[in-house]
Order: sequence, then C-alpha cells, then structure tokens
Amino acid sequence: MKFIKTESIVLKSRLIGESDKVVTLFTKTNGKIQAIAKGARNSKSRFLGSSHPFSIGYYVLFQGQNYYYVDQWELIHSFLKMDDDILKFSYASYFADVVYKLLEEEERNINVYNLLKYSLLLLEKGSVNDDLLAVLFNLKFVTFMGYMPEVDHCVSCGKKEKIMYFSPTKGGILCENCKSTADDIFYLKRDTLNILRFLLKYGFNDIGKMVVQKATVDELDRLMTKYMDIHFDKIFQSKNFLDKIKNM
Amino acid sequence: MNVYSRSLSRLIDELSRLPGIGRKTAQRLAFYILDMPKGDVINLSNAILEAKNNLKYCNKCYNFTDSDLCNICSDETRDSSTICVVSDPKDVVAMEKTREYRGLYHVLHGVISPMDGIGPEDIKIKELLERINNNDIKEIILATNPDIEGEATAMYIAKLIKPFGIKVTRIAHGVPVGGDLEYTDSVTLSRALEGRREM
Repeated sequence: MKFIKTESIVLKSRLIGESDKVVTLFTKTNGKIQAIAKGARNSKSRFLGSSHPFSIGYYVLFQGQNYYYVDQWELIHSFLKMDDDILKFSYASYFADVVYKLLEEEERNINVYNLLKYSLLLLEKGSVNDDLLAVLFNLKFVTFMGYMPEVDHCVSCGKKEKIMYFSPTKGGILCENCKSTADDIFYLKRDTLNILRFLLKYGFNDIGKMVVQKATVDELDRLMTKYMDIHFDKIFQSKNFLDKIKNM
Repeated sequence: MNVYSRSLSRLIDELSRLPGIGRKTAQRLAFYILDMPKGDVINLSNAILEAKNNLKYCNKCYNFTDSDLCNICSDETRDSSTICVVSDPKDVVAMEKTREYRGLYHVLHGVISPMDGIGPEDIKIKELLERINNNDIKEIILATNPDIEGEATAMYIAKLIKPFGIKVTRIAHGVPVGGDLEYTDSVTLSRALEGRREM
C-alpha cells in the first residue's frame, strides 16, 4: 500500500455518499491529488476541518483502488480571516481555481505550490494591494508553466527601442514598427511596462513596498486575463465572480 | 450473458442511480420489491409519482410544498418578523427538530461557489431581498453551513441586507455537544473561542 506524507493546500472539496468528502489537495510532493476524507461531514469527525478550502495542512494519505484516502491530518494554517471577507475569499477562489484547472493530476510543481501558498498568505495578511497580488500571481504562474511573456525586447524584430505594445498571442512586447504583425495589441504606457518588468524579475518580498496606480493595475489585470485566456483556453468562473464582487 | 430478465435489469439500473446506492444494494432492493405484495408496490410507485407531480416551491420560502404556501409559512402562530436563511430544504428539518425556533425560513437551494460557477444569481437571494422589501422583517438569521462556501454566502447576503437596516445574525460555531476538546480541530476551537459568551 502506497503512503504519502506531505504538506498540502486544499483546493476544493465536494460531498460524496452519506458522510464523506472528496478533497482535492495540491500536495507539495505529488501535485494535485483527489483524496476521500471518510466521515468528514460528521460533526465529531477528526477530519472535519481537513476539507476546508485553502487551508494548509500536513496530510498522511494512502492509496486505495481508485482514490487516495486521508489517514491522518494536522492543520498548519487555516486562513480564518478569509472566511470573514468575501473579497479575499473571491481572490483565494480564483487562485485555487487556476491551479485546479491548469495542473494535471499528480503533476508535481513545487514552484506553483509555493506561489499559491505565499499568494494566499499575503492575501490574508493584506500587506499588498490585492489586485497587484493577483497580477503577480498570474505572471508568476504563466512563467512557472513555461509561458513567460517576453518583456525585454520586441518579440518580432528583437529591438529594444520604441516599445509601446503588448500582444498576448505573440507572447510579449512589440515595438512601434512591428505593431501591425499582431491583431490583439494592448497599448503599454512606459510605467506599465516598467512594472511588468519589475514584477517578472522580483518576487513577493519586493512588491510590498510598491505603490502602483489603480489604472496601471487594472491595465495589467486586463492584459494578463487576455494572456491566460489565449494560452490556456480555460474559462475561470471564479474570475467573473471576483470582478462582480469588486464592483459591488 | 445477462443473468437478469430485461424488466429486473431495468429496475436495478434505475435504483442504482439513487445517491449512495451501488449495484449490489440496488439488486437487494429490487429483489425486496419483487417480494412485496402488489398493493405495496403500487403505493410506493404512486407515492414517488405523486411527490414528483405535486411538490413545488412554496411561494414565500421556497421550501418544498404541495400547496401555494408551505405548512410553516401558513402557520399564523409563528413569528413572521424573523427569517432563518438556510441553503437546503433538509436544513429546515434540522432546525425544526430543535423546537427552539418559531420564525419563518428562506431556502436558498444552494450556496455561492465561485469555483463551481455558482453565483448569487443561481440561488434564491433575489427572492429573499424581495421578501425583505415587501414585509416587515426585524431579524434575518443566516444559518448556512459553517464551511467556506456557506460563510461566503452568509457574508454576501449580510452585505446586501445592510442597507435595509435590519438586524442580521449568524448562527454560532463551536465544539459539538458531547464532543471532546482534545480531538476538536484548531479551526473549530478558534471559532468557539471567538464566539464565547459570558456566564
């Protein structure tokens, strides 16, 4: 019988049978795994909290015929504050949704694991603008999945001067002369391009000090949404929900 | 080779579509039904058909009923100024079993779940707001499940109701009666501590 002992983040859970739950875990060592938490709906079950979305825990799982089963579970971090804030809950749902939909079962990706973990922790802490955090999450996610946008030189001619556009289809920036080579071009302000370069180069520790105008963050958000739409071709209903809550 | 006759095989197939019933249980139920007196089988099938044909949503609370208003909404002795919001008709039964609550209900038929694409417009939130608008309501009790989707739904509704100036309360979370602190997880314990009351 195969046992896995690993730190995991709960991506989502659903009910199965009378009192069990199927928990989708993003494990640190084995990627995305579906595990059954027996009796997790029972109010006196020791697995009661093991299916709480976004919580980080230490799980011992054993492999059954079709599923893994939760054997032991210990909570590491619960994101309790997120339960009381619908906006943060919506951001967290979006982060989890991206990982849930775009990673294959049992595809180990420690970079994406750490990205999700620190994004959720920063989201809860609230030290970074939530929208900027979402942009950074998207940028780092596409990078770790092998789709890093080119922001150093024009993707068409290689020039570094007169960069003014971004094309999601071409996968990077375009100069004034090459803008006609793509149909889906976003005009990039100098500030936006600088921030895009900064975000790709630096990590979570550095963005806390950043002050970015709302219009620039919104521009980056639109750009990244389109970029992910073109390269991954998935619909994230959680993103629509997030946008709706933001406008409430 | 199919060991069952066509009718029996169909009965087993249909029964195994019910939640929590696998082929083995379906087979046992099918043979039990075959052993039942014909009158009982007719009663059973009629009961299923009648429930399906006659049951509809209550005009007020959206619980299942066979008339325009359910028994609870049409009971004039109940406190019509308090509404307890639940996500599922089964939760009404659970609340009623307490015999503590004498107000009315509102059944949402689901909870907000962004990852599953269930938004506020997919559950009966609009109907709740209309109800609050048209009636003299003093308190709304949010009794959705204490999981993350239930909490999000409760928060969302609380946010919508705030402008009405009505008292909005949330059911308490904590250690179950007869439970053991040692085996209670830290999330539940934190919640229990947060919601402690003076004695």
